[in-house]
Amino acid sequence: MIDWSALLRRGAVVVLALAAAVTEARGQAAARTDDEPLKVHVFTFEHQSADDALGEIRPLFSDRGSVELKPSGDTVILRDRRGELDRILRTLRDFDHPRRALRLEFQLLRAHKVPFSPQQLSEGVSPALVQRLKQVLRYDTYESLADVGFRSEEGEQVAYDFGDDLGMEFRVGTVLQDSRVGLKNFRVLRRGEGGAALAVLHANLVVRLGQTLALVLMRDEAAESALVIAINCDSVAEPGD
Amino acid sequence: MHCTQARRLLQQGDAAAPGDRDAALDHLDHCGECAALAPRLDPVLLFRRLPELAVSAREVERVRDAVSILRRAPADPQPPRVAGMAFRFAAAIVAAAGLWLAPGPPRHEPRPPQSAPEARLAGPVPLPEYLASVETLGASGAYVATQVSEDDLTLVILANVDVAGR
Repeated sequence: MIDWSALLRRGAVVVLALAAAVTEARGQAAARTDDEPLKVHVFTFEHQSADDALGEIRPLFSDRGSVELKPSGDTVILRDRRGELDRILRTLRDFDHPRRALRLEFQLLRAHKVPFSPQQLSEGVSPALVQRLKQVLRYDTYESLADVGFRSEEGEQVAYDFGDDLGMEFRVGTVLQDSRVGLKNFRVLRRGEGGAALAVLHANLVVRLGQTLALVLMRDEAAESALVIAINCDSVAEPGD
Repeated sequence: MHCTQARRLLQQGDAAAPGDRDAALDHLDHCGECAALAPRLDPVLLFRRLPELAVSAREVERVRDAVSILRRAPADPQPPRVAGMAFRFAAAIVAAAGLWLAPGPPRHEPRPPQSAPEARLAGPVPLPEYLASVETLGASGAYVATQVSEDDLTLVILANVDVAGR
């Protein structure tokens, strides 16, 4: 006859033994890791901005790691354990690719509420974009104020005037993981009567390549109108790609 | 109880009379030599007296942090690894204790099979791929009121922006 009770007890012994062994092994591994000496690596950027890279690699450091940016601005000194350092260096080498060309398109729209108008016309704006905006916003008409597209590249400083009293400026960041790019220090400038430019918006933006980013700028939710900046950014195929 | 007698009873395992076995187990608490020898007499005794867990204050703090994170984000599909280790270890101990105390298989007549309710799984839940399109905002007082992210369009509503100039 099978002694179930004894079998179950021995099963418990096996479970406990495995759990204890795993815990012990992990504890020993952790202890070894804490004792591991730190490595130092100096990395010099050839193509991209070291400033932009810091935000990407910061999460990869262990609690013992550190990074120091040299005054020259293109060199960082990295300290961490070998495993973390390897991952950080792989990320940096991918990050520091030759500057890529990009196609940027900006569309400036004015959105209005027209409560009594039977016809809600939107002039000069892509119907698909208007339809999408209407799904989210409660504005009735969308008027195109300006539309511009141009070629730029990573790291380039861009300034553009939409008209006499509205403009924007930013620096094109680094394309990350072939999927997104930052528009650094993105400012929307409005000029007052004296001609002095006032930054009504100052932000760091992230744009997905091939996707539209629509910024809707408004005073508050009850505002009768809003400004919409639709941004498109995509890679430009280089000869030989 | 003498060592020889205790060892003999322990070697008998479950075959020993319950009272005798209990007395032999008590002997282990006072005799280090027999306690060291006990697992060789009966492997079940290997974990009769679990050594006190040596948990550092740092480990306690990390587990406490992990629990507080879980409290803030109960739907987080990937809890921190430290918490996972601790919970798995605790679950292993509880499961083993349950097995240890189990009285054995039920000794009643088998019942006719009943139709169990059909288990239904919700299926894979797609994780939202969230990317903040506005990383930082300057000190102009503007703030992100809403962000809507879809495949081909991300729409960000920025409020408290003075755009009344035109």
